[in-house]
Amino acid sequence: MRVTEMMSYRFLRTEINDINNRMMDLQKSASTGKRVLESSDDPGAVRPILNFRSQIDANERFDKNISRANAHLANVDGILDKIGNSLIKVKEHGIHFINGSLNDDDRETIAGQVGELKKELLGLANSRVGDDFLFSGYKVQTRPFQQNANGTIEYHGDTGEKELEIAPGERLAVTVSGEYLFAGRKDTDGDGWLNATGKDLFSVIQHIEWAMQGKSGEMVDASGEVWPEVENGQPLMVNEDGTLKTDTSGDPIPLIHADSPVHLSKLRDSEGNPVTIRDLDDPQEYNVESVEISGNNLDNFVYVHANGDIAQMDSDGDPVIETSVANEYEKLLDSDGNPYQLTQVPELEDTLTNLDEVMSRVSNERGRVGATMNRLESSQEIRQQATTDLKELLSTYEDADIVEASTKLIQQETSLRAALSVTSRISKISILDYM
Amino acid sequence: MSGLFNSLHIGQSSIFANQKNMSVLGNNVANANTEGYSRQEVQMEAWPTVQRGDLSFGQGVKVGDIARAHDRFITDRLRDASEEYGEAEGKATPLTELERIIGIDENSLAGSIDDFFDAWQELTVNPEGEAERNLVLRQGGALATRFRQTENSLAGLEDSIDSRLETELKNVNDKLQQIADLNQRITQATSTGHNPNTALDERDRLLQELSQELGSKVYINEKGAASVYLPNGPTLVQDNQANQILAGKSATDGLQFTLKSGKTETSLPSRSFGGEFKGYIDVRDKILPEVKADLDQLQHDLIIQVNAKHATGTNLDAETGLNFFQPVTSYQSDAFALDDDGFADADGDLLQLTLNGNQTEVGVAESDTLEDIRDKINDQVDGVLASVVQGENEDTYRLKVVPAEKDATVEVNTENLNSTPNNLVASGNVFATVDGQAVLQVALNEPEKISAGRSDAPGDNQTALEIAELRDAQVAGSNKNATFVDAYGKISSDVGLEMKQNEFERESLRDTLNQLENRRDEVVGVSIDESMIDLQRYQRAFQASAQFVTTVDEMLQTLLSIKR
Repeated sequence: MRVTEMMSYRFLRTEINDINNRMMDLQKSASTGKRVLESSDDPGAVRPILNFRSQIDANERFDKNISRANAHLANVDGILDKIGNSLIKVKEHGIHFINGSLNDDDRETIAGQVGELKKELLGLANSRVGDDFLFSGYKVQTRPFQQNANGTIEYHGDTGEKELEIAPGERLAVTVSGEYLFAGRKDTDGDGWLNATGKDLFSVIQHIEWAMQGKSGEMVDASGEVWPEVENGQPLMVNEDGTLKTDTSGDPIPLIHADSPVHLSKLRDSEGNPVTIRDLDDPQEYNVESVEISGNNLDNFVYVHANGDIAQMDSDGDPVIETSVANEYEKLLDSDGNPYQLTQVPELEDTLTNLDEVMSRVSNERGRVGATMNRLESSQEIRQQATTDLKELLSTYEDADIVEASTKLIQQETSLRAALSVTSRISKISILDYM
Repeated sequence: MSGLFNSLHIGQSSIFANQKNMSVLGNNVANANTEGYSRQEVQMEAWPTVQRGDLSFGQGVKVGDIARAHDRFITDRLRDASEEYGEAEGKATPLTELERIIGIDENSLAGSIDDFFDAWQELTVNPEGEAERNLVLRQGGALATRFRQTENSLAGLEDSIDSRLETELKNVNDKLQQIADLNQRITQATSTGHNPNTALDERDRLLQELSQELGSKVYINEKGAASVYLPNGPTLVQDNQANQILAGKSATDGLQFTLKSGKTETSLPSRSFGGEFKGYIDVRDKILPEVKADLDQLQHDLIIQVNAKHATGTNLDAETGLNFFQPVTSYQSDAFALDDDGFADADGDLLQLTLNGNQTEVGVAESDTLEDIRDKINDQVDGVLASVVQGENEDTYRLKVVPAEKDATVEVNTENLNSTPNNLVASGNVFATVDGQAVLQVALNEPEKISAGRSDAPGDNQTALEIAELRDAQVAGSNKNATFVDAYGKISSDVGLEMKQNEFERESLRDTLNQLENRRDEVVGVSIDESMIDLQRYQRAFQASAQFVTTVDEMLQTLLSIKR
């Protein structure tokens, strides 16, 4: 074989070029610490790398979300603690009231203290963190418990329970439903409708207060006013001046519907929002009997009796009741424009039993909050562990083995040096030196 | 006496021949580093002998020919190897750029997709927060920008491939002309018995370069002229005639080629080329469109999936059914508008849907509203999405049927609705066939328009949760079995694989080419060492001949001095 100078130079050129390229690659991995910088560096590693990065991002977000949810629940827990304490105080007052030998002044003082505790509990029910109310469901900017002019406390939030994703595909509710906690209403059978599962906290305490005021057994309206009654225990309508209201034939008008005193409440949809006449195009949807509702003002709310019947309405859309005279109706609104809600005040002992039920609900909820927080904490640990594991996995795909890279770099350096020295030696030898 | 004079002649021929040898040798050494140069050799022959009686006398030496070393086989193999190497090399440059565009670093599209869903996940914690809502809008916008940038870079890459080819064509046409000129010189020289060695070397070099660039094939005819063809036939050079390759940009199809032969121009399909041109064109016409289609699919999936969830939600202004991204606009294939009562009035009839050529039928009853028909289609027919959209007038509604897959087609035929009622108004082309390109763009511009929940309650985060969960949903890619990030990863790894394969090819082809060039040098290259030894040889021969002439001269002197 003839060997020409071109051949040795070409050989040298390609060889040195190759070595330089390899050194460049090694230098890049050694200086960036990454093995895969472009997809062609290892096409098979591209998808794992991108997926791991995505999962790491997600885990870090879950971690942050869990921290925020935990902070929120810690607030809720604090509030529940205070609520529990207030309820204990109410109960102490109740027991003291029953057992103690008290004079009338003492009784009045204790009843007043229960009234103060009711206000305190209302304040707690309307607790907020930042701008958001804790117990109003999704309607975080609506004050959840508002007192009407007549003294009843109504829930204005909704039934929403905020869930967060705490792990891929795993959701956890991180709020407490104010409607359940305070009013005892929740959708237990999953039909989209709220069921009463227990007593309403505010009305229980109201009853205690009334009972302490000596109204046990009496028929009272929402403001605590005692109503006159006829012999068979039926309450009668009264005028603003306290006189009995009469129909055209001069008879007093009994406030009775289906053998019970009138207790009207607004018809609410599955999310707890009051329903208007306009909304009620399909009564079936609201679990009520179909009725003819007339009225000019379609935006008026629909009222129902305690047994679920829809209250009759007049042309203004206000609830009415039939008097003893045929086709005569009387409005069922009191002087403040609120529908009548008559209740018979129970005995104090009975109200304290109801209070126990409310207290156990509150402490159960608090237990649930604690359990949720534990769950969040352990989930957070798992997330953090997963993040570490994923980073390690990502590293095996993506990161350069620095030791290996530098060893290889040294190897390449050696071969470069060898190539250069061989060439320089060969090119030193020339026949011209011997001629 | 005549014998001695004859000897002088022999000496002279030897001096002359060795001189010639020295000068050819000098020329070889001078061109030792000239690309494509073939070593030349003086072919010395003995003069015919003269017969004198029984003896025959040699008459010295003569220079028969100056031939160049040549190996036809290696030259042909070099051209073929150059073509293959050219193709791989042509792919390499645009592929490197493509790999950079479909990158995998943290600022890549995958990162933007992650950031987008991360913003939604953050929104779930504080769904009414303005900062969180603004972040969602911003990340949506950033994602759109990233898609735009990627698309623009791809379009830019296509442009730069075209301009590279266009510039290169000037070079190529020059070379074609040079080959035609060389053909002329070579055939002329050959016909007059000359040896056009340099012209042959030059032509071989040009032919090899052309093979690398165009993948051209060569045929050398008996007169020594080289004909140059493109791989699939069209002639580029015939004898001393060179055709020209012209290129022009059309608005729709990019760079198109024509072959100008004399005054006739014929169009040259881009698959005619080999070599570097084929490499570039393959990237432009095969790899780039695939990447673009995959990116389109990804955008399409993102738009459809995010919008589907978002539309079920309600924003802070109590609006529902809003799109988060601009809907895929070219999918607007609208259908019947109904009159006031909103019923189809088509009793017991069949609505025919043709999806990708397969026909299915959906029964329509008289009492069906558009919503009913929509639900029937969605329940009974896979692969299409039916929805009811508002028509031009507020009171009219239209049933919209679109394919769920990007390249699928759907046609709807209402002819079989026997009682095609008057109120089934269809304007123009009913249920047009659709396909189209997806352009991801955020449709909302106010933070309060984002639907984070099912209700307008500010703390409702149900919809935001569902959208955030899309990050891990396997709803993207051609088989709908990948997450969005994974679908992007597939695009990227496909490009990487192509690049990797190209690197291997280039390396092995370059080795082949190097070996062939070495082989060529072995046969036709100039070795300085060898030349120096030859130089010594010829110098000695020259000296000896000169000495011979001197000696003969002295002999003549001796003879001439006898007379005195």
